[in-house]
Amino acid sequence: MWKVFVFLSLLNAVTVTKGLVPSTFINTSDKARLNSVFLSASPYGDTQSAHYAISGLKLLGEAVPNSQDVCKTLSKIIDKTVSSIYHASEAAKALGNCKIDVPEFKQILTDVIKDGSSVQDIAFAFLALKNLGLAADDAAVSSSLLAALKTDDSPASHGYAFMAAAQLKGDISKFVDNIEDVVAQADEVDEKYLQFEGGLYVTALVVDGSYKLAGKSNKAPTIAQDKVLKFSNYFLSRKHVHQLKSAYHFLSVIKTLTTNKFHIPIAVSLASPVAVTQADPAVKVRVTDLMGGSLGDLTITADSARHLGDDAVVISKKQFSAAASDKSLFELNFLQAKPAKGFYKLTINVSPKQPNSKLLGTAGAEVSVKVTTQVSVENVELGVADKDQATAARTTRLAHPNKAASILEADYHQKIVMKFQLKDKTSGQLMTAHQTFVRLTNRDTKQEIIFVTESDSTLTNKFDLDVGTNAKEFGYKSGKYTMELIVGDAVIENPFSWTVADVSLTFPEGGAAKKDQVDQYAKKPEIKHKFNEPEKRPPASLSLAFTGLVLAPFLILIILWFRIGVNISDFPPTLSAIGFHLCLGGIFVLYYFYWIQLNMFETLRYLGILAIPTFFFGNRLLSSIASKSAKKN
Amino acid sequence: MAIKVAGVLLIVAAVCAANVPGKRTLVLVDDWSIRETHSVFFKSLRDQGFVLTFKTADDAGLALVKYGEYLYDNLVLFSPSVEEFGGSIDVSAVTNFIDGGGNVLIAASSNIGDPMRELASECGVEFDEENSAVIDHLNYDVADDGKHTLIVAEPENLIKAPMIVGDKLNEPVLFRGVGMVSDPENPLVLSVLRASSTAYSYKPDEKIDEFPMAVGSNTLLVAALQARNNARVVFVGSLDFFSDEFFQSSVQKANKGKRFDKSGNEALALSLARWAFKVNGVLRVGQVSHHLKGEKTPPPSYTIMQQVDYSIVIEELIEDKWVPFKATDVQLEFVRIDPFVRTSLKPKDGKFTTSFKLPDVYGVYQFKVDYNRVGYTRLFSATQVSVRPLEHTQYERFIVSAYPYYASAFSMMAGVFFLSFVFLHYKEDTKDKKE
Repeated sequence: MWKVFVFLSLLNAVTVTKGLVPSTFINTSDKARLNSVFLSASPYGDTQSAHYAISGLKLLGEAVPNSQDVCKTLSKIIDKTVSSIYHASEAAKALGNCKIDVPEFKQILTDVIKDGSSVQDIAFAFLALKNLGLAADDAAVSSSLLAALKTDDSPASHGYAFMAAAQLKGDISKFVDNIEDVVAQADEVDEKYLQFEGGLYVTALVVDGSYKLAGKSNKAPTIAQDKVLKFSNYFLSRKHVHQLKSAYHFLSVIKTLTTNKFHIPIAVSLASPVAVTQADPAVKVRVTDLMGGSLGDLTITADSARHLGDDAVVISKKQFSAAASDKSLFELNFLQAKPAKGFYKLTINVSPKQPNSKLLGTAGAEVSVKVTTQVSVENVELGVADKDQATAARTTRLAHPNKAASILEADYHQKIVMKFQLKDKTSGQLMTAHQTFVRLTNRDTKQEIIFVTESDSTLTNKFDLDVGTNAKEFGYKSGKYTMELIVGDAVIENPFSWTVADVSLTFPEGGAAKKDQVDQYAKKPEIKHKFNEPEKRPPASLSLAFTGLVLAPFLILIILWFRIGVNISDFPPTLSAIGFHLCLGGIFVLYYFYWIQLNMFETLRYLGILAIPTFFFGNRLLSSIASKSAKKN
Repeated sequence: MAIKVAGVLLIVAAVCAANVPGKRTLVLVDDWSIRETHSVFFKSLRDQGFVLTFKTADDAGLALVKYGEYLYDNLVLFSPSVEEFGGSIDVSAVTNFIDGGGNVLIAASSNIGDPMRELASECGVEFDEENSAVIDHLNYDVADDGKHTLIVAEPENLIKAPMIVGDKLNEPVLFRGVGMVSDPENPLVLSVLRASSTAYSYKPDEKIDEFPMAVGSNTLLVAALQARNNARVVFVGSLDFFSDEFFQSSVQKANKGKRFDKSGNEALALSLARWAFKVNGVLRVGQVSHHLKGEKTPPPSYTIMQQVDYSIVIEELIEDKWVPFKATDVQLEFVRIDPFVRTSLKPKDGKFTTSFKLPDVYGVYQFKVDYNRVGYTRLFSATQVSVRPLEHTQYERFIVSAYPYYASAFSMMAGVFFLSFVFLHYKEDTKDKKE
């Protein structure tokens, strides 16, 4: 009966940790990155960043540059708040050989330790007192912490309380009892991670505090093993942390998870590439603690290796051999079992040579590998056939990686046909690939058109390009195209893009040839306005000749008048006669100026002015002439 | 007391900070852990002066608008898998936000939910189906987990637009996520980063039995939209693209590619964000002036064929300051329904000038500067003027061809003048002789 029980509980342990064992750890590049995070915090603006950076560097085992100068800066940037003093004291402690005592600190710190202060302040004050080597009333701290926790029972507060309680003398069982309740508040994500609201910093604080407290009380913290692993997974998923505060807490909790007396999670990580190839058939795993430290002598067994497609188990209970150079590196020739290509999940068991109950995740660690293969392309036939298939296709055989010797020509009554098979070089069997595309690239425009080939039941891939019906995809652009075959798959080691042939395609003329798009972001062509051309004019000599002709009658009139001797001696020497003629001449002169420079309104005004004397003088003149001639008669 | 005062001051400071125009940014995340895993990106946004407000995408109190005013200028959607937004946000609220001039940065991933897909299609970008991924068997990173979905995108496949993608990037970028396609007829959507021609987008675990939505270089990894109101939307198919991990990761193509110690992700992500949130590529029109050559002020109306000077001041926003814009390809159009004149403007300290002769066609025209370049906000300025025909006094006189007409008119006048003497004062001699 108890055997069954043991079996069941064993089974339970296996299922509980299945897939939960961390698959990564803090490796050298992670450490270097964290190191740079801590180093970049200097020069320190406040004691908090000084604390995190200095303690972080210490956890990494790195020296703090110019530690004496840093110590001096600490005393300068410290202000009289509890948290500032606490961080300064922690930084000073981490630096070592650095004293930052100021007499008034003790008063500030002890004043805070009372009911009504926040958990964080009490914890900080107490820890600062401890760090500065000052006396603290442990009983008061304990009671005020508990009181404060009643009003604020957030995980972060509990985390601070744990940290403080780990340094308390006297009864700390109440704090220890809290661990279970607090851990129960953590949220599970994807059934793999466990975290508190507030993220990395809070989660790290609580877990770190729990283990520190447990270390003090010498009793394993009441955190279930799978929860520890889930917390570990969560922490490791955040190893790219870049904030100083979180980075410090992260490193601190990882350190605690590798050094505490109760639970040491194992990290089983793949040390070789995911792909297992003929050239490199070994699967290597690295079994370490979370910081990448060795766990002593171990026996590593591949419990099973399961194909992810068809669930075939190819390996069971096979032992890894330890690498000679590195105690934490183990390898297994995976291809010995002749696994089919594809993805495999290896379940790995870890058993220490000396029994070590602290180790978590000894069973059910999983790593994924894939078995890849070389592919060759066989029986390639390429040709042009008539659309109606009245005649059999003329095909030529091709061999990878050679290109067809001649240019293939096809017009819109024809189609291009290609057949090929893919062969697994290892097993010699025909296979299919995820990507078997044919790409046609226009030589001039570089436009590419891609077609998918499909395999039939005999695993022969066929590509059939009806030039006429696909004309639209090519934009009716006749011309030379390069035809390539692209073959790729996750399990193919040698994916390739093979230029099969050059083809010359002819599409129906004037199809819906797309007009070239105007690039609306480009500079537009300049436009110059075309002015109307002035009308053609006759040559000046012609105009002048006609001018002469037009003037001729007037000249002839004058000449003839002189000939016949015009007698105008009847001109009366009166004012009205002279005035009239002057005004009449003036009007004509005004007309001339109208032509030269005046506008119509000015002209009318002047004309109006001239018209009055002209009328007056004209009237007088005419009446005088009339009376004169009447007298005569 | 001191603490209270400090608290009040802090609140005041926070309120002031939240009112910085153009900088209020709402970040919607699937879960809080994104704040930690993408901390470098958010930190660099903060360093740029953006005020980030984080909310989970299903937060019941979400709102973009309050009392008819937008609460934020920018929206970061780092919540690809959201099935339904919380609060008053839904797809139409986001599109209204874009219509209102808001900028959006969207990161998707292989488990993309319907709202994100809908939002993208509203903007002219189509995401591939849920669980699909961009696969490239020839260009994947060494750190790939076996499915060849962690692909290496070459900087040559970036759009040639320094405003959007920054100055020349030498390192390739890492991408793991969903592919996109855009309608090539849509001129507003820009293909910022294309996949290589061997890539395609499909579900990695399923056999290809239908044509993939995106193949080859039609597969977009990053797309951008600048709407007609200058609102900017950037789509990135990969949420991991912005992660601290990718920012700090090294890049090396499998099959013995060249190794780069640091990926180009950080530089590209920051450039994209700076463009999306209008830190880069923002132009505005300053003073526009036009007048007759040799004068200072514009006339009430121009006459055809006059020589006109035009100048426009254009400024660019750099580091929150308006500085003179430098370009040689700004053009002026003189438009009456169709452009009659299109000419380049000569830049000098942000003032762009030209001088040209008005066309010989009268009508109501506009001086139009429509500067639309990839990466810049669209700049448009139109000034209306009327151009009238010649007055009757402005036509040409003393035309040689018309001399016969002039001569006839004046000879007629001279004739009348002389005839008036002869007619009025003629003394008949003959009568005297007879007598």
